[in-house]
Amino acid sequence: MELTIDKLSKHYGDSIAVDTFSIVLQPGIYGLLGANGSGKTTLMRMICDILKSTSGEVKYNNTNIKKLGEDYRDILGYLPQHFGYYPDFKAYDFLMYFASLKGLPHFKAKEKSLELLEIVNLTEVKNKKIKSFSGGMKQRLGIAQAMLNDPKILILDEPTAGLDPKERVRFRNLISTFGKDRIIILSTHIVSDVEYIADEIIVMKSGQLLNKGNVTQITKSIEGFVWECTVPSKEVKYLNETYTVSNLKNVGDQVSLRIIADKKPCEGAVNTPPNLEDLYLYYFEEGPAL
Amino acid sequence: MKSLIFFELKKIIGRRMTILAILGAILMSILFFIFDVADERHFNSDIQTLHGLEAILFDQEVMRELKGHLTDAYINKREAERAAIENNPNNLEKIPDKELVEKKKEMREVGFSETEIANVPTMKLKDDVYIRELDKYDFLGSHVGLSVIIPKIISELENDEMNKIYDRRSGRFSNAKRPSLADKETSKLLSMYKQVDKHYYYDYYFGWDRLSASFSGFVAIVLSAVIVICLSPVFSQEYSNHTDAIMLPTKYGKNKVIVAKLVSSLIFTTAAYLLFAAINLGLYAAVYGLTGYNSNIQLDFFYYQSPYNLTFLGLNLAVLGLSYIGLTFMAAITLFISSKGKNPFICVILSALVLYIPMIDLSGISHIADKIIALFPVNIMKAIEIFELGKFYNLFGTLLLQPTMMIVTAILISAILVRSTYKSFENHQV
Repeated sequence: MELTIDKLSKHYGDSIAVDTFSIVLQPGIYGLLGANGSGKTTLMRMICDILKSTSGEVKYNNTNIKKLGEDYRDILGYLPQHFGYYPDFKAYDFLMYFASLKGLPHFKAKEKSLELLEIVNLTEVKNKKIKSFSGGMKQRLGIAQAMLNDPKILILDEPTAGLDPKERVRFRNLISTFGKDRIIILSTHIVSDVEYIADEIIVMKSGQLLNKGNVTQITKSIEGFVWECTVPSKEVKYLNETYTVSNLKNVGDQVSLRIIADKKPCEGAVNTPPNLEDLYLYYFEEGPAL
Repeated sequence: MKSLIFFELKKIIGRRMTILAILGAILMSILFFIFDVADERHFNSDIQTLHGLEAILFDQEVMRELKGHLTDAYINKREAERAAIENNPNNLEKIPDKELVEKKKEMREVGFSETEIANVPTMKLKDDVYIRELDKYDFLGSHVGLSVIIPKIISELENDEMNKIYDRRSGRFSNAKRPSLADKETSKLLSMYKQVDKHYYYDYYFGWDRLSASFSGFVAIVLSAVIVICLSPVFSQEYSNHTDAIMLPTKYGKNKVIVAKLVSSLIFTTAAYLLFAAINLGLYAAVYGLTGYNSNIQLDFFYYQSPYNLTFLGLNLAVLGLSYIGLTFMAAITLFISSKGKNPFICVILSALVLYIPMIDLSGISHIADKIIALFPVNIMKAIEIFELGKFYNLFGTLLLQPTMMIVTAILISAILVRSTYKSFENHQV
């Protein structure tokens, strides 16, 4: 199974949302990292064939997805950034409707809907109208609808928005177990969502593919750029204004800082192994493009 | 597919606006009926004004007493009865000179000959005699009219004097532009008039007459608005709810669900139509009764020049059929606008404009413009007006009667719009 994105571009007039993006994806979990406006959602929409590209193509097993049509959509699951719903539908009815849309026979639709409601912890409210749900509950319902047809390709655009930490952990575990033999693309700003479960991280900036690799490989690229130091309080303001500070903690009358910088930011600063959050800040907080 | 259609129907019916619209329409249907009944008025033989149900019952009694085929023998008998009343000296008084002059002038305008004008009586009936005894014989005017009007029209057509049919129209129709007919059209119209039944069947037909008029008006103004309100969100709400983003990437999101939406919209439109047809038929049948179904439409003043050889039952069936076709045509337009619109409210406004603007009367401005605007859904739904006179459309050399042209137009354009709606949603970009 292979999903190929071949020189995909999307232009809106003079503005370029996605710029000759190319990548080949095999089964695994992919974390798509990028700042707001980097083109993640546009890319995902084109992969789901709900937005026409300006140029380039998306292929599944070497066949253009437009040619595959219904056969491609049959193996696709998608949760958009802003999940739309029918306010007067009950949660169970909503899933049954989307199960119909996904071609599930009635008995299977019933079984799958109840199973997913259990997984996303919405069984007790299955007969309540969606308009009465909290934001997190709606998001969980959205995740459930995306998984109804056991998709081979699952595209999730900021799926943990609105979820509390406990729910995010449940979601991470769900995706991990679900991720075997499937292609899962997960876009998020919450780095911890993908740091521990993603097989590969894809970094996107200004519509382009900036970097990709597993967490170890990708964070290696900024080895030597992450520093830890402890400074008096009066120096904090200067360091904050001059460098990207990823963490700040008061330790007695001193302040412990984690700084991302090309060179040693202050006396006593030592290099520390970078993590994914450092990488995100390096790329998207005025860090240089590689 | 069945489950998709079920869910799409559920979405249409489950909306609060749908329930409110249907309930509002039921209320209006009942109100229209009540106004119709309350509007009935008649004088009984004691010159008391009867209203509503009393007037209806009185009319029924009088007209059923006189029911029958208007054969020569029947006419002669009733004419003799009427003549006896009219010639009874106790019932007469002299006509004032001024009134006599006015009457002769009117007769000239309608087309009576000078001989007929010269022989007009100088005595008239006392005012109360008409109400007491002669009112019930008014229908004989149809037959007299028939013996004069239909042959008169045939003669006018043969002499290329078609405009006189239009000259005899009253009210807002009197200012309509006169058409100029090609030979083919004149010939077709002639053959239609020659086929009009000579011996009308007279009975109490008011129920059928009120039903066809009220129902066609109700469909054109109220039911069509219900359909616009209920179907505008079918596609546009997917855009405004952002459910298009999760619907389109599904297996059936670009094919079967669109068909399901179209089919469920047709089912809803048809069910609503049948519901209100049943309500109206039930109400009018319960109060006015079902007699007079086989009376000829030419008995009614509005249709006295009609070339359509129809009974009131035939007229009602034609109205039912045409108003349904007009309604589904409007549904197709609404769905198309919905597939293009981003917001159900804007779609309702645009659809309402397409629905109501063609009600503008262009007959006094241009005959061609009038014929074109007659093909819009609202005018197809106002089906009773179609049968007043015979109108033709020349479609690439083929002559089509107005009802046929309306059906052909509605079906063709609806088919195009349905396809365009399908493509519009299928190619929708999120």
